[in-house]
Amino acid sequence: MIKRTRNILAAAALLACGLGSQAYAQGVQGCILLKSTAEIAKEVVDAKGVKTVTMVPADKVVPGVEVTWTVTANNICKQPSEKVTINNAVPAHMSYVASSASGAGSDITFSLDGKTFGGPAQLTVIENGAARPAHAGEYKHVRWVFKDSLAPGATAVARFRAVLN
Amino acid sequence: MSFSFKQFKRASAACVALGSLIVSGQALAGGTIPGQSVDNIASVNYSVGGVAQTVIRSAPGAGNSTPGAGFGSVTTFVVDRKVDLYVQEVSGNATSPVSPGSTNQVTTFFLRNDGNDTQGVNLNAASVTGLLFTHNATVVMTNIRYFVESTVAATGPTCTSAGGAPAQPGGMQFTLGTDAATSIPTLAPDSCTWIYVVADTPIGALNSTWANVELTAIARAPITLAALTANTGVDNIAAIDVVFADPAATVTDRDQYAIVTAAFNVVKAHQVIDDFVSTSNYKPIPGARVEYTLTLTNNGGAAADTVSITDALPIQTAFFPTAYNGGASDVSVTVGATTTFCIAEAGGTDGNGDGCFRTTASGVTTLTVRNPVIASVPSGGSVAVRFRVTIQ
Repeated sequence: MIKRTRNILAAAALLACGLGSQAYAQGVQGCILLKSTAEIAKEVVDAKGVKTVTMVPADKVVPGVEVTWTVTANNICKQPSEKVTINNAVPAHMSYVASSASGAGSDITFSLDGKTFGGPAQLTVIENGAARPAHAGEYKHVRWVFKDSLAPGATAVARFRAVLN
Repeated sequence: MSFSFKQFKRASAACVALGSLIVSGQALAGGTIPGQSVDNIASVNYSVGGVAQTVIRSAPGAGNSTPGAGFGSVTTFVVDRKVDLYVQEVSGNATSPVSPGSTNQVTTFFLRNDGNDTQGVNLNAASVTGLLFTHNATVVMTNIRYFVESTVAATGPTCTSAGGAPAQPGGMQFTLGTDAATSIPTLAPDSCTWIYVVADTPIGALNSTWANVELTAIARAPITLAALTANTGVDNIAAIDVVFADPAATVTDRDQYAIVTAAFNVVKAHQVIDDFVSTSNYKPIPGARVEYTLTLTNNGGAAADTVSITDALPIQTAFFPTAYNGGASDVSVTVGATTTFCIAEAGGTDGNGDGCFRTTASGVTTLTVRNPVIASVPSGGSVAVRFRVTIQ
C-alpha cells in the first residue's frame, strides 16, 4: 500500500511537470482553479474582404510577435476567496509590452527582481551610475491584487502581452 | 508521508533537469532561435475565511487547483522559424552617371538576414522600367549580372542603421573577377553582406534618360539552396513551423542608372568684317572678308572630350588663312574664357598636330577643328570656333 502511494505521487509529479494534464491529487484540492493560456491575434479576411482579428492559440510565433497571456482564477469552493493575488513572471525570451496588463478590479504592479513591486513610476534602473525609469521591456514580473473577494463560482481574469524577442 | 514526498521531489528534480535542457537555447540579438520553448506559469495567493492558503500554480488546458509548488504545469509554445530577408539599395538615389556604351556599371545593394535562423540566399537581377527616384526609366540595361561581395559577411553594428542600409565598410567595393559568387550558401541571423548589380549601358541611350535594375533575393535552405515551404496550415504548437515574413520568402529593391552624355547646340553666325570698299557697314560683295563663328554649347550632363567640328565652306567663298594671332594662325578657338589658335593646313593632313586642317573634295573645302585645340567641353560649357573667308 505504501509503495502504491509512492508510485501514484511520483506519477502525479511527472504529469505536473510538463504534460499539461490535470494534476489534482485527491483530497488536496485548493479553492482556485488557475489556468494560463497563450494566444496571438490572427487577422481573418472573409469572402467579402472584411478583416476581423480573432485570438487563436499561440501558433506561428516568431520573433516580434506579441503573445497575449491570460490567467483565469476560478473560485471552485463554496466560500469566497479573499486577497486574491496573481503573480506571473514575464516568460524568458519575451519582453513585456507597455500598458498591456489588465485585470478588472485589480491593482497591477510590476517588478524587476520579483521582490520589489511597484507602478511604472516607481521602478528604476541604475545605468552608468544614474537612475532612470525602467523600460516596460525590463519588467520581469507582473502582479494583480484583486480588491474584492472572489465569490464562489466567480472567475478573475488577469492578462498581459509580451513580445517574443 | 515523508518517504513519498522524497520520491516526489526526486521526480520533480528529474523534470526540472529536463526543463533546463529544453530552455538552454541561446537567444540571439535578432531573435529567439527556432525550436526554443517559451514557458509560462502563473501563481495565485489567496485567503479563505481570513486564513492564507497554499499557493496554486497554473496549468494550461483545464487548469490546476492543487496547491503546492510541485503542481501546475507550464503553458508553452515553440518558437517557429522566421524567414525574413532585407534588401536595400545603398545610394538612396540614382547612381552616378553612366554614359552610353559604358560597360560593367555597378550599383550596390545591402542584404541582411532579419530572420531568426541561418538561411541560404538565391539572387537575381533584371532590368525594370518605370518611375523611381522621380525619374521615369525607359532605358533597358544589357548584360545584367549580380555578384556577392567576397569579403565574409558582416554581423552586429556594421549591419544596422537607423536610416535603412548602413554605409559599406571603407575599402569595400566591387572588383570584377574577385566578387564572383552569385548566391549565398549561409547567411546567419543579423548578418549582412553587399550585392553588386553590374550592367552595360546601351550605346544608343540618350542624354538625361534613366535605367532601373531590380535585385531579387530569395531565402533558401542553407547550403543546398533548396526551396523553402511556408507552413500556412494549422500550427503544431510543439514543432517548428516555417513562417515567411515576405511572400514567397522573396524581397526586392531597385536602383537606377542616370545616363548622361554630351548634347550640343550649334549656332553658326557670320559677319562681314571688311569689303575693302566701304569704311563702315561693310557689304558681302566679292572680295569682302567674312568671319564665321561656330558656337557649340554642351547642354548635356557630361563633359565632351572628343569633340570634332567640321564645317563645309560655301563654294562661293575661299578660306582665308593667317587671320589670327598676328597672322601666325588660321583659326581661333575659344573654350570657356581661353582662346587658342591653330593652323588649318590644306591637303587633309594635320601636319603640325594642332587639331586643325582643311580637306578639299569636288570643289568644296571642309574645315576640321578637333583635339587637341578643343581638349574638352564641360557640361554647360561652350566652344567658339572662328575662321575667315573671302567672298569670290
